[in-house]
Amino acid sequence: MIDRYQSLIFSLCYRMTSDYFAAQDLAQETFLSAFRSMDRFRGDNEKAWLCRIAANKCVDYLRSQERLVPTEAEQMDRREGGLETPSVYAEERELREQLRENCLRLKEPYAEIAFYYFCEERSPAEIAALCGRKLKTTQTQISRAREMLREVYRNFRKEAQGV
Amino acid sequence: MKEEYLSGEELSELISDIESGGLLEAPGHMKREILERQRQRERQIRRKLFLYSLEVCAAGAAAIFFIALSTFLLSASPRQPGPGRRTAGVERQLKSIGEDSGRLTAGVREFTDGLVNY
Repeated sequence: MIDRYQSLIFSLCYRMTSDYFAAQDLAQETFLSAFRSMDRFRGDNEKAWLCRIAANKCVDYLRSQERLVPTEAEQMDRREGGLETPSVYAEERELREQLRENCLRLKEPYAEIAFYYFCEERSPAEIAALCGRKLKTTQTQISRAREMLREVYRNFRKEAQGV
Repeated sequence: MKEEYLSGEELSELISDIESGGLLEAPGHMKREILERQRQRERQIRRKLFLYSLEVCAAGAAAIFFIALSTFLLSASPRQPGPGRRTAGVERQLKSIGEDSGRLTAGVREFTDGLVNY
Protein backbone atom coordinates (compact mmCIF):
# COMPACT_ATOMS: atom_id res chain seq x y z
CA MET A 1 0.00 0.00 0.00
CA ILE A 2 2.79 2.41 0.85
CA ASP A 3 4.61 1.78 -2.44
CA ARG A 4 1.42 2.26 -4.41
CA TYR A 5 0.17 5.45 -2.82
CA GLN A 6 3.02 7.24 -1.07
CA SER A 7 3.69 9.67 -3.90
CA LEU A 8 0.01 10.50 -4.29
CA ILE A 9 -0.50 11.05 -0.57
CA PHE A 10 2.68 13.08 -0.28
CA SER A 11 1.69 15.21 -3.29
CA LEU A 12 -1.76 15.79 -1.84
CA CYS A 13 -0.36 16.81 1.55
CA TYR A 14 2.17 19.12 -0.07
CA ARG A 15 -0.50 20.68 -2.25
CA MET A 16 -2.65 21.44 0.76
CA THR A 17 0.05 22.60 3.17
CA SER A 18 2.84 23.91 0.89
CA ASP A 19 5.22 22.73 3.60
CA TYR A 20 7.70 19.98 2.68
CA PHE A 21 8.21 18.58 6.18
CA ALA A 22 4.60 18.98 7.25
CA ALA A 23 3.62 17.08 4.09
CA GLN A 24 5.99 14.24 5.06
CA ASP A 25 4.67 14.08 8.62
CA LEU A 26 1.05 14.15 7.50
CA ALA A 27 1.66 11.49 4.86
CA GLN A 28 3.25 9.26 7.52
CA GLU A 29 0.34 9.87 9.91
CA THR A 30 -2.06 8.99 7.09
CA PHE A 31 -0.53 5.55 6.55
CA LEU A 32 -0.28 4.86 10.27
CA SER A 33 -3.97 5.75 10.73
CA ALA A 34 -4.82 3.56 7.77
CA PHE A 35 -2.96 0.59 9.30
CA ARG A 36 -4.84 1.12 12.57
CA SER A 37 -8.23 1.19 10.85
CA MET A 38 -7.53 -1.36 8.12
CA ASP A 39 -9.80 -4.04 9.57
CA ARG A 40 -12.68 -1.55 9.72
CA PHE A 41 -12.33 -0.54 6.05
CA ARG A 42 -15.07 -2.21 4.05
CA GLY A 43 -15.06 -0.06 0.92
CA ASP A 44 -13.63 -0.91 -2.46
CA ASN A 45 -11.81 2.35 -3.16
CA GLU A 46 -8.62 2.25 -1.14
CA LYS A 47 -7.19 5.30 -2.90
CA ALA A 48 -10.15 7.54 -2.09
CA TRP A 49 -10.15 6.32 1.52
CA LEU A 50 -6.46 7.11 1.99
CA CYS A 51 -6.83 10.50 0.33
CA ARG A 52 -9.78 11.30 2.59
CA ILE A 53 -7.68 10.51 5.68
CA ALA A 54 -4.81 12.62 4.31
CA ALA A 55 -7.03 15.57 3.41
CA ASN A 56 -8.70 15.59 6.83
CA LYS A 57 -5.34 15.46 8.57
CA CYS A 58 -4.13 18.37 6.43
CA VAL A 59 -7.18 20.43 7.38
CA ASP A 60 -6.64 19.64 11.07
CA TYR A 61 -3.00 20.63 10.71
CA LEU A 62 -3.84 23.90 8.96
CA ARG A 63 -6.39 24.71 11.66
CA SER A 64 -3.79 24.09 14.35
CA GLN A 65 -1.44 26.43 12.51
CA GLU A 66 -4.33 28.89 12.15
CA ARG A 67 -4.06 28.73 8.41
CA LEU A 68 -6.90 28.41 5.96
CA VAL A 69 -7.39 25.76 3.32
CA PRO A 70 -7.40 27.17 -0.21
CA THR A 71 -10.51 25.99 -1.98
CA GLU A 72 -10.25 24.24 -5.31
CA ALA A 73 -12.02 27.21 -6.90
CA GLU A 74 -9.34 29.60 -5.67
CA GLN A 75 -6.64 27.33 -7.01
CA MET A 76 -8.44 27.22 -10.36
CA ASP A 77 -8.66 31.04 -10.35
CA ARG A 78 -4.92 31.24 -9.84
CA ARG A 79 -4.36 28.97 -12.81
CA GLU A 80 -6.84 30.74 -15.05
CA GLY A 81 -5.41 34.11 -14.05
CA GLY A 82 -2.64 33.51 -16.55
CA LEU A 83 0.01 32.48 -14.06
CA GLU A 84 1.65 29.46 -15.54
CA THR A 85 2.09 26.82 -12.91
CA PRO A 86 5.45 25.13 -13.10
CA SER A 87 5.54 21.54 -14.23
CA VAL A 88 5.76 19.01 -11.46
CA TYR A 89 9.31 18.14 -12.50
CA ALA A 90 10.45 21.71 -12.15
CA GLU A 91 8.62 21.95 -8.84
CA GLU A 92 10.29 18.81 -7.60
CA ARG A 93 13.69 20.01 -8.74
CA GLU A 94 13.15 23.29 -6.95
CA LEU A 95 12.02 21.49 -3.80
CA ARG A 96 15.10 19.30 -3.77
CA GLU A 97 17.39 22.26 -4.42
CA GLN A 98 15.76 24.22 -1.62
CA LEU A 99 16.07 21.23 0.70
CA ARG A 100 19.73 20.84 -0.15
CA GLU A 101 20.44 24.51 0.56
CA ASN A 102 18.54 24.43 3.84
CA CYS A 103 20.34 21.28 4.96
CA LEU A 104 23.75 22.78 4.27
CA ARG A 105 22.83 25.94 6.14
CA LEU A 106 22.39 24.10 9.42
CA LYS A 107 25.20 24.12 11.93
CA GLU A 108 27.49 21.12 12.15
CA PRO A 109 27.18 18.23 12.69
CA TYR A 110 23.52 18.57 11.68
CA ALA A 111 24.29 19.93 8.22
CA GLU A 112 26.23 16.82 7.29
CA ILE A 113 23.67 14.45 8.85
CA ALA A 114 20.74 16.29 7.23
CA PHE A 115 22.40 16.27 3.82
CA TYR A 116 23.07 12.54 3.96
CA TYR A 117 19.62 11.65 5.29
CA PHE A 118 17.26 14.05 3.50
CA CYS A 119 19.12 14.74 0.28
CA GLU A 120 21.03 11.54 -0.40
CA GLU A 121 18.38 9.43 1.40
CA ARG A 122 20.88 7.22 3.16
CA SER A 123 19.77 5.07 6.08
CA PRO A 124 20.77 5.95 9.68
CA ALA A 125 23.03 2.87 9.78
CA GLU A 126 24.88 4.00 6.63
CA ILE A 127 25.28 7.52 7.98
CA ALA A 128 26.55 6.23 11.31
CA ALA A 129 29.16 4.12 9.50
CA LEU A 130 30.14 7.03 7.22
CA CYS A 131 30.53 9.53 10.03
CA GLY A 132 32.02 7.09 12.50
CA ARG A 133 29.30 7.61 15.10
CA LYS A 134 27.00 5.33 17.08
CA LEU A 135 23.65 4.51 15.52
CA LYS A 136 21.68 5.95 18.46
CA THR A 137 23.62 9.21 18.30
CA THR A 138 23.00 9.44 14.56
CA GLN A 139 19.27 8.81 15.00
CA THR A 140 19.07 11.53 17.66
CA GLN A 141 20.93 13.94 15.40
CA ILE A 142 18.60 13.13 12.50
CA SER A 143 15.60 13.99 14.74
CA ARG A 144 17.19 17.26 15.78
CA ALA A 145 18.10 18.12 12.20
CA ARG A 146 14.51 17.43 11.18
CA GLU A 147 13.21 19.79 13.87
CA MET A 148 15.62 22.50 12.76
CA LEU A 149 14.58 22.11 9.13
CA ARG A 150 10.91 22.20 10.11
CA GLU A 151 11.52 25.50 11.83
CA VAL A 152 13.36 26.83 8.77
CA TYR A 153 10.47 25.91 6.48
CA ARG A 154 7.93 27.34 8.94
CA ASN A 155 9.76 30.67 9.07
CA PHE A 156 10.16 30.66 5.32
CA ARG A 157 6.43 30.16 4.90
CA LYS A 158 5.60 32.92 7.40
CA GLU A 159 7.87 35.32 5.53
CA ALA A 160 6.23 34.36 2.25
CA GLN A 161 2.80 35.04 3.76
CA GLY A 162 3.97 38.31 5.17
CA VAL A 163 3.35 37.30 8.78
CA MET B 1 -10.56 30.17 2.03
CA LYS B 2 -12.26 27.87 4.48
CA GLU B 3 -11.62 25.80 7.55
CA GLU B 4 -13.91 22.89 6.78
CA TYR B 5 -13.10 19.44 5.57
CA LEU B 6 -13.22 18.99 1.80
CA SER B 7 -16.43 17.63 0.38
CA GLY B 8 -16.40 14.39 -1.65
CA GLU B 9 -16.53 16.32 -4.90
CA GLU B 10 -13.76 18.74 -3.92
CA LEU B 11 -11.55 15.85 -2.87
CA SER B 12 -12.16 13.98 -6.15
CA GLU B 13 -11.30 17.12 -8.12
CA LEU B 14 -8.15 17.63 -6.11
CA ILE B 15 -7.04 14.02 -6.64
CA SER B 16 -7.68 14.23 -10.41
CA ASP B 17 -5.83 17.51 -10.57
CA ILE B 18 -2.81 16.14 -8.74
CA GLU B 19 -2.72 12.94 -10.78
CA SER B 20 -3.05 14.74 -14.11
CA GLY B 21 -0.40 17.30 -13.18
CA GLY B 22 2.12 14.69 -12.13
CA LEU B 23 3.01 13.37 -8.70
CA LEU B 24 5.84 14.60 -6.52
CA GLU B 25 8.15 11.76 -5.59
CA ALA B 26 7.87 10.91 -1.91
CA PRO B 27 11.17 11.11 0.00
CA GLY B 28 13.00 7.78 0.07
CA HIS B 29 13.19 7.62 3.86
CA MET B 30 9.42 8.09 4.31
CA LYS B 31 8.50 4.43 3.81
CA ARG B 32 11.29 3.32 6.15
CA GLU B 33 10.08 5.71 8.85
CA ILE B 34 6.46 4.62 8.49
CA LEU B 35 7.40 0.95 8.88
CA GLU B 36 9.66 1.72 11.84
CA ARG B 37 6.92 3.67 13.63
CA GLN B 38 4.45 0.89 12.94
CA ARG B 39 6.87 -1.68 14.38
CA GLN B 40 7.38 0.47 17.49
CA ARG B 41 3.64 0.77 17.95
CA GLU B 42 3.18 -3.00 17.69
CA ARG B 43 6.02 -3.58 20.17
CA GLN B 44 4.39 -1.19 22.62
CA ILE B 45 1.02 -2.95 22.33
CA ARG B 46 2.64 -6.36 22.90
CA ARG B 47 4.53 -5.01 25.92
CA LYS B 48 1.37 -3.53 27.44
CA LEU B 49 -0.45 -6.82 26.96
CA PHE B 50 2.37 -8.78 28.56
CA LEU B 51 2.56 -6.45 31.55
CA TYR B 52 -1.20 -6.53 31.98
CA SER B 53 -1.10 -10.34 31.95
CA LEU B 54 1.65 -10.24 34.60
CA GLU B 55 -0.49 -7.92 36.73
CA VAL B 56 -3.51 -10.24 36.49
CA CYS B 57 -1.41 -13.32 37.29
CA ALA B 58 0.24 -11.62 40.25
CA ALA B 59 -3.12 -10.48 41.62
CA GLY B 60 -4.56 -13.98 41.14
CA ALA B 61 -1.59 -15.63 42.82
CA ALA B 62 -1.76 -13.17 45.73
CA ALA B 63 -5.49 -13.81 46.15
CA ILE B 64 -5.03 -17.60 46.19
CA PHE B 65 -2.16 -17.30 48.66
CA PHE B 66 -4.09 -15.13 51.07
CA ILE B 67 -7.19 -17.30 50.86
CA ALA B 68 -5.05 -20.34 51.65
CA LEU B 69 -3.31 -18.48 54.46
CA SER B 70 -6.52 -17.24 56.04
CA THR B 71 -8.04 -20.74 55.77
CA PHE B 72 -4.97 -22.13 57.52
CA LEU B 73 -5.13 -19.49 60.26
CA LEU B 74 -8.83 -20.09 60.82
CA SER B 75 -8.36 -23.83 61.09
CA ALA B 76 -5.35 -23.36 63.39
CA SER B 77 -7.18 -20.96 65.76
CA PRO B 78 -8.20 -22.40 69.17
CA ARG B 79 -11.87 -23.60 69.46
CA GLN B 80 -14.37 -21.28 71.12
CA PRO B 81 -17.40 -22.33 73.23
CA GLY B 82 -19.92 -20.81 70.77
CA PRO B 83 -20.32 -21.95 67.13
CA GLY B 84 -18.79 -19.69 64.41
CA ARG B 85 -16.96 -17.41 66.80
CA ARG B 86 -13.45 -16.32 65.98
CA THR B 87 -10.82 -15.08 68.36
CA ALA B 88 -9.99 -11.40 68.33
CA GLY B 89 -6.44 -12.39 67.40
CA VAL B 90 -7.52 -14.19 64.25
CA GLU B 91 -9.71 -11.21 63.29
CA ARG B 92 -6.72 -8.91 63.63
CA GLN B 93 -4.61 -11.27 61.56
CA LEU B 94 -7.22 -11.47 58.82
CA LYS B 95 -7.53 -7.68 58.74
CA SER B 96 -3.75 -7.34 58.54
CA ILE B 97 -3.66 -9.91 55.70
CA GLY B 98 -6.31 -7.95 53.83
CA GLU B 99 -4.30 -4.73 54.19
CA ASP B 100 -1.07 -6.42 53.09
CA SER B 101 -2.87 -7.90 50.10
CA GLY B 102 -4.10 -4.44 49.12
CA ARG B 103 -0.60 -2.97 49.45
CA LEU B 104 0.91 -5.79 47.40
CA THR B 105 -1.63 -5.36 44.60
CA ALA B 106 -1.06 -1.59 44.58
CA GLY B 107 2.68 -2.17 44.44
CA VAL B 108 2.38 -4.57 41.53
CA ARG B 109 0.20 -2.09 39.68
CA GLU B 110 2.67 0.76 40.31
CA PHE B 111 5.53 -1.39 39.06
CA THR B 112 3.78 -2.44 35.86
CA ASP B 113 2.59 1.14 35.23
CA GLY B 114 6.18 2.25 35.61
CA LEU B 115 7.34 -0.32 33.07
CA VAL B 116 4.60 0.64 30.61
CA ASN B 117 5.48 4.34 30.87
CA TYR B 118 9.25 3.68 30.62
